[in-house]
Amino acid sequence: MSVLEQFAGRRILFLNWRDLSHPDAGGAEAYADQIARRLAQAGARLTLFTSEHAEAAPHDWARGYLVVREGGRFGVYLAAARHLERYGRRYDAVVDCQNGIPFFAPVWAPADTAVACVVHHVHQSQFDMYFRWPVNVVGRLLEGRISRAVYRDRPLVAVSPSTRAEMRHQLGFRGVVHVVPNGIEALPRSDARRAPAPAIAVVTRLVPHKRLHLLLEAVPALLRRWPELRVDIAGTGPARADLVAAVAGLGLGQHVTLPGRISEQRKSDLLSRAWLTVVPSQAEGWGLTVLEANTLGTPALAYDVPGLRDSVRHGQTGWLVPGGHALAPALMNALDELSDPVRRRLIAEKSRRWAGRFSWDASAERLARVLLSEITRKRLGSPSRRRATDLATVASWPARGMDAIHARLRQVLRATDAISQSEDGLRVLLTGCDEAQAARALRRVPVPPSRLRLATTTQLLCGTGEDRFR
Amino acid sequence: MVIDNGSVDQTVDLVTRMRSRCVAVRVIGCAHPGKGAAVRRGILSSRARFMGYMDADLATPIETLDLVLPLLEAGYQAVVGSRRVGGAALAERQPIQRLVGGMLFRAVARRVLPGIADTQCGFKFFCGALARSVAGDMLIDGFAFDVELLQKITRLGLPIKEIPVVWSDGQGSTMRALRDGARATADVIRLARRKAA
Repeated sequence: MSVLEQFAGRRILFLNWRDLSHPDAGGAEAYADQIARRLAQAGARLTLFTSEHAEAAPHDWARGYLVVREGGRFGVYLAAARHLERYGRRYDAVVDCQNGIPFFAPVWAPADTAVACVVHHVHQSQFDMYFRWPVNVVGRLLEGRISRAVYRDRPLVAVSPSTRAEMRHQLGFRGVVHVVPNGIEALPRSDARRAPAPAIAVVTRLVPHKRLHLLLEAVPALLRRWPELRVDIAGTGPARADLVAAVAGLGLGQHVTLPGRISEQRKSDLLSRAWLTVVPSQAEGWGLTVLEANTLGTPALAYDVPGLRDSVRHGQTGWLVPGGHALAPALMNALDELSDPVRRRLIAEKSRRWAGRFSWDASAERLARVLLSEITRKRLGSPSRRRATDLATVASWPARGMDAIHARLRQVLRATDAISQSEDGLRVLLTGCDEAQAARALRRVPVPPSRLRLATTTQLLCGTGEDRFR
Repeated sequence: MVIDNGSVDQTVDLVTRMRSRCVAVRVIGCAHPGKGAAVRRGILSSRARFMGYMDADLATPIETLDLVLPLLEAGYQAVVGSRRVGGAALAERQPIQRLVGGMLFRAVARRVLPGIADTQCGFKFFCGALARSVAGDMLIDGFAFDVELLQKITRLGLPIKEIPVVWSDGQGSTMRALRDGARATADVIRLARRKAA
């Protein structure tokens, strides 16, 4: 039985500053919606509390759960606090989604209510980009020092291992941080065939921190080698005008197009035809555009920065360029490699399989595990026995006799540990513990594991002890 | 052997990727924070004839090992790097709070280990059997771990050989001068008391 099913009848509150109907909705809103929907489908009574905007009613059931809209961009935080004070008792668990500033649900909700805080991205450096003194300083304090005090012993959820590293590094969180990645929704099927000449396609929101001008600046060097190169940069956003001007300035009108906002079908066709997608961002919470391209067998080239270093597997599903290096030589190498049809087919296959590892069903299940373990912990009033550490250990057993071990394991493990079974044997991913602690936790299993190894970032991200990347 | 003691730089992946044919590199975890805890986990997980520990940022150049091994082969049971004997060099200047803190710490450490000029250099090598036998009942998890280890070896009546090293302070140090320094000094005072008792 999945953990999700155990949420039938439970009352869950999601807090997010926007909802999917908001004109500026992005990745964080999709995350909240996809997981909320699955909890609601499992029978949970789910409410999403969010800000109001001109195009939406104060509440609706359009997505299969109740959406309550109150307060504006900043007012929503006060409205949510009031809602929690008044109705907090009614909820079994609260999912507090942080978009720079969290809702501080632990302050307003009753002390015995389970609260988990989801962090997509650490915003410390962005407060200076968007706000002046003193708002930027207050923002940094709220995200850092004050959040640290408020969420001290509450479970936090990061969307990628590198977001978790930033939370430790920049925000100084010391408590337990789980990883629950973004899922991915299938793009419409495309009949487009891979282009005969090199083609690069990018489909994203055009904002300054995506740094797509770096791609444009690399194009002249690439054209010397591949005169028939095509580059498509689709999407809209505040940086589009500058990019259009840069294309004209560099005289690239023949080779680069900026088609603006495009349909999902068009996006699918564009990415299927391309050899490569490029993400020169300075940081992402997660690389959704990378994974979207991967579903169509298109690899990605990106800088080795937080978020993207988790979503791009260097040498297998794309290439990571060290921060600060020029794009042109790296692109040259990548296109060279992709010119070999055998190599290209292999990379395409690996990209598809990599993307296949992420799904919203799996993500919803993983968030449900975090919530369930916190609900249980609150009910028992017990502190977690394992210390907060980002280490995780994979224990494995050979295939022989694994069914008996499997049955016993479920009684020994915590909800957030993951068991996987294959013809190679049985593997368990124990999060938040080193090998010595894992060995201690597994003492009650009749057969000791044949192998204990620290988990790699990929295993942490995929939430499984499987290490072969098929 | 690499000990991952709460790192945030994907240590496990790095080590896994750099697997070499000539040298077997293993990474193991230590969830308990503190240099002492991490080094102890390493010592107790090894079966090597000679063993030792050094900082992964190469604060002491790796070539120093060429000086250490002949000494261990010659029968010295403990060979430790020192930044404060003739021939040593500090490649960079330290900030003032670390200088003052270091002076205080050394003043206390000298009472526990009168013969050792620099107890804190992160470059120490031992005869494996000796390290394993003393590490088992050590108590300090923090930076004062070095002092406890050397104290135990001295008590067994074994000499400790100090060799000069060229030291450079890494950029990414997580040592907080005030907090960690104060804790380490307090630990050493406890060790001094234990000695008196």
